[in-house]
Amino acid sequence: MKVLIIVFMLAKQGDHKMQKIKVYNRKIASLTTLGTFAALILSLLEPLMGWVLVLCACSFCITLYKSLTYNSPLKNSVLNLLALLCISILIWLATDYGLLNTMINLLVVACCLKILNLHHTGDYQMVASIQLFLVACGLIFHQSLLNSLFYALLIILIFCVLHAIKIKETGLKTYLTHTVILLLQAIPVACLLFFVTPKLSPLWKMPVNQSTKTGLSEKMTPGDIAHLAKSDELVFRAEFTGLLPSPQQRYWRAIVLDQFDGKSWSISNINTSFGGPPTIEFQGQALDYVVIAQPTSTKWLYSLDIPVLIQDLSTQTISTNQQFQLTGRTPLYTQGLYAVKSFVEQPLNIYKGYEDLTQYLQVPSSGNPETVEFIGENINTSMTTQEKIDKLTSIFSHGDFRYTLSPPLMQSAPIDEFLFEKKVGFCSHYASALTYMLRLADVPARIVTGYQGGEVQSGNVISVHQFDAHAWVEAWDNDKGWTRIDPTAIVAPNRVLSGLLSMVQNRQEFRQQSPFSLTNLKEYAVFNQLRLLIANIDHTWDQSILSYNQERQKSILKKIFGNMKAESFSYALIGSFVIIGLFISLLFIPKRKAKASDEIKWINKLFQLFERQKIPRIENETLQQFSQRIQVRLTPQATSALGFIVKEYYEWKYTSLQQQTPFKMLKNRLYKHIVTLQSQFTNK
Amino acid sequence: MRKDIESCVSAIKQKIKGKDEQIQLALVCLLAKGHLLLEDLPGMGKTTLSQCLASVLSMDYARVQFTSDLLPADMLGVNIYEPDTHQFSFHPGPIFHQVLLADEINRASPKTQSALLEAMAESQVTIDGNSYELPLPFFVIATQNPLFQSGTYPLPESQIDRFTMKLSLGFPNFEAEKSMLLSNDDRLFSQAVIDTEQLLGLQKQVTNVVVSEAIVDYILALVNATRDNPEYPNALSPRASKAIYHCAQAFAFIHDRTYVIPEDVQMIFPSVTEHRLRGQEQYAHNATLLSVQLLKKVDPIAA
Repeated sequence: MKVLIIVFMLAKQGDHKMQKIKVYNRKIASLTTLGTFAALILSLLEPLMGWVLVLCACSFCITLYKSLTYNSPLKNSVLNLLALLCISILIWLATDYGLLNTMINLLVVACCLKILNLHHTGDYQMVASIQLFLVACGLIFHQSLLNSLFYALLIILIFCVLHAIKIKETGLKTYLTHTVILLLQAIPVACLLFFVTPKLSPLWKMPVNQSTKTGLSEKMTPGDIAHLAKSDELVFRAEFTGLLPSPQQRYWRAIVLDQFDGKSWSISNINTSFGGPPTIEFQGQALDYVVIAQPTSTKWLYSLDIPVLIQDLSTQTISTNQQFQLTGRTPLYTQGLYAVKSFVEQPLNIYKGYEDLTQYLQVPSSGNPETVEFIGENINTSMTTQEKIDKLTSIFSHGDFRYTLSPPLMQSAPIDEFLFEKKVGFCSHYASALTYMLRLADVPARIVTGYQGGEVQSGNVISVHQFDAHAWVEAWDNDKGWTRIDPTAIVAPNRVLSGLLSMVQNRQEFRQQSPFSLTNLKEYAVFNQLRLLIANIDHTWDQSILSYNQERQKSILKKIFGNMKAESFSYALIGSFVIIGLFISLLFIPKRKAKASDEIKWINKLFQLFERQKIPRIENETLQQFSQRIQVRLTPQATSALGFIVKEYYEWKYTSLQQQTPFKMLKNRLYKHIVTLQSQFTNK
Repeated sequence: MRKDIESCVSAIKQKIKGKDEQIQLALVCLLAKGHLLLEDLPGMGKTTLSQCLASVLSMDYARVQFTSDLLPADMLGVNIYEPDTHQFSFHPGPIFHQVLLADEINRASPKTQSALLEAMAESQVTIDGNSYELPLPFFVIATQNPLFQSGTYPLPESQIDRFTMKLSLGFPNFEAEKSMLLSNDDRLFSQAVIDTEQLLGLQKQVTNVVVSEAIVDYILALVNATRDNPEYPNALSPRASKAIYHCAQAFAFIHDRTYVIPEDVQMIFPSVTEHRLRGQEQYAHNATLLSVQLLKKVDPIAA
């Protein structure tokens, strides 16, 4: 007896211990979840809206408090209401914010709210899966090696959480070893999928976050480029064989914007449906150089005015359009290399009368009334184009305009506000305002975005970084053709002469944005080397992993399998996917329920017959109880038919008859009674 | 209903008015070779019911009033030294009767309770190394007062499980009580309707009632629903499923059917399982019986 009691007590204690371990594991899991949540939010600051961040902070604090003290569940109804509210706000803001960003915000909101109620295993699993999605979203924005490692760590932690809520032992080491072993097992499959999955663009293409990845985008809202100026990412390198261009000549054209909607500039349709460049005689000094461009995932390429492609293998897929822009046939996903000859002294008036100029006079029908009025007062039709241009550019030299990297927000009438109130802005503000005014003054004008300047390195190499991004204006003069005007140069001539870095005097403003950027420390040799080393590793990562695309996949597969028809290969691929999918789905098939027998089907049909007459079966009623209950509602014929059915069915089912006669016979025997029932119902 | 059973029921009905269902179920229990536990307040007719059952079925009857000082020997019998023959001779106790009424079983000590229950399970008693067969048919009717009454030793779950059925008579309705008072019949015993041979024959016939696989599945579905379910503190044992099986057969039999239908199972189910499901827990009188809840959960057709 005593032994029994001791055993019992031990068991009880064991039970208690289990409970304790469970509680401990839960605590660890909730804290880790919080940690990964915070890390994810911090890595995703860019696309998140302000209020979402506030929500995140609140939910973080509440959950931290809850997991450190007691754990009382929040009311689900409150959370649901909150979720509804958040979703409606998101929907309301969705059009301004873009689909991708809204979706990321939605995921974060979901994670925020779910994390408030971490109680059951299911809650943890839900949060973990949301977080895995958020990791994927984070990889859209940050793809460098370091970031990838960071996200890999987060994934390990998330799986640790999933593990901790399931196992019955404790200790960080156990979680980690188990998780790492699990993930290691997954790596071969992931690699295989990575190399073999067809990189079909609409399905497998990563959504690209425009301004971060592209550098310059095809739509420019004043202020956009200022954002780029805070990035010290390399855009391209140009290797010159001869002379270097002078600082004033280093205007690297990329995109021409000619459509204005009052707020932002974009590329018009006319612009894109171009023919080839005009054939002209080039004259004067030419610069020879090779551009090595970093991947941007757009097709726009860079060159100095006026470029002529040197025909060779690398430039076959690149074309020049009539605005003398270089464009690749496909977006630049990998590093690109092309050789160009630029005639910098060639005047820009060479293709006089070549284009339809009406597009360059387009202005939005309303908005910015002060500017319209100002043009009306100061410009008259009798002035020559050059006079108009002079008059308008003089505004910038005489007004007290300032150049800044962090321009204030100008919302309703941006150009009015910029010209007459704030008078501070970045190159895009100046370019935008001048182009608008020129157009109002009946001078065809357009904005060119690209890069200005660049860092001259040893040898004849110029490195151009994102912070060199610039926007300037080209105006049409009937005598001279297109003329380049850089209003920024008027306000801040240093910007053009010595580049942005020296322009922003004490660099305070510049450094603020990236305190850890090694560019800040390039005076010190050690750091500079470190910077180059990291850049090298990153470059390899870029080259080998991130820019793995369809063509490279093809070539690799070709190497392995030899010359294989693309078609047969894709069939094989689809086949193997189907097989793998089937195997996986086998795991998810719920335990097969015993197939409903003919008899059950028949009896359910019988009940349905009555249900259609609004006589439902009460749950778990037997057939006899059912027939007795509903008798009062039936006609005598129906009653007797039903009674017969019940009697026959019972005699068949609950006696030894069931073994002797198949159900089919009974069914046939009862058929006419069923028909009687049906006819009774239809008569009614 | 079978004629012979019907006449039994109507004979008992003359003594115990307005309790047809309980009388039927008591007969079912008897025919299923089970033992019966009657739980009710004093004076509700528990003893009368057992006496009537015994006399109608012409079984000999003994009554043991269980008290806290009752010893197993008082019930089973003792070996007494006979000075004339210089030998011990066995003097059987009241248990050697076909119907034993163990009145107020929960007032006896656990030792005596278990002695009785052993006899119930094995149909024999062992005294001083000698085994004595109990008479056939052997039917124990135990009565107990509701547990809240003072001076009771509650039967543990393991012993409650041995009673095939537990019935409660409850207060008679107005009409029944009135006719009871007016009839002014003081005779305790009814006329015998069936003799012992016939009863044994009936018990044998009961076992021949067909229980189809569908019914077995249904019983198992019901029983399994109580296992691994926190709503049922005491799951039903295999002994319970056996009891359901036999009682359903007996119920079908007294209704003159040669096969069991789900309704039979449902009719006997509460009285067979409720005491097992509850254990020592008290009834909350207004709550639905656990067994009835269970019946509502399991589909008799799909099972």
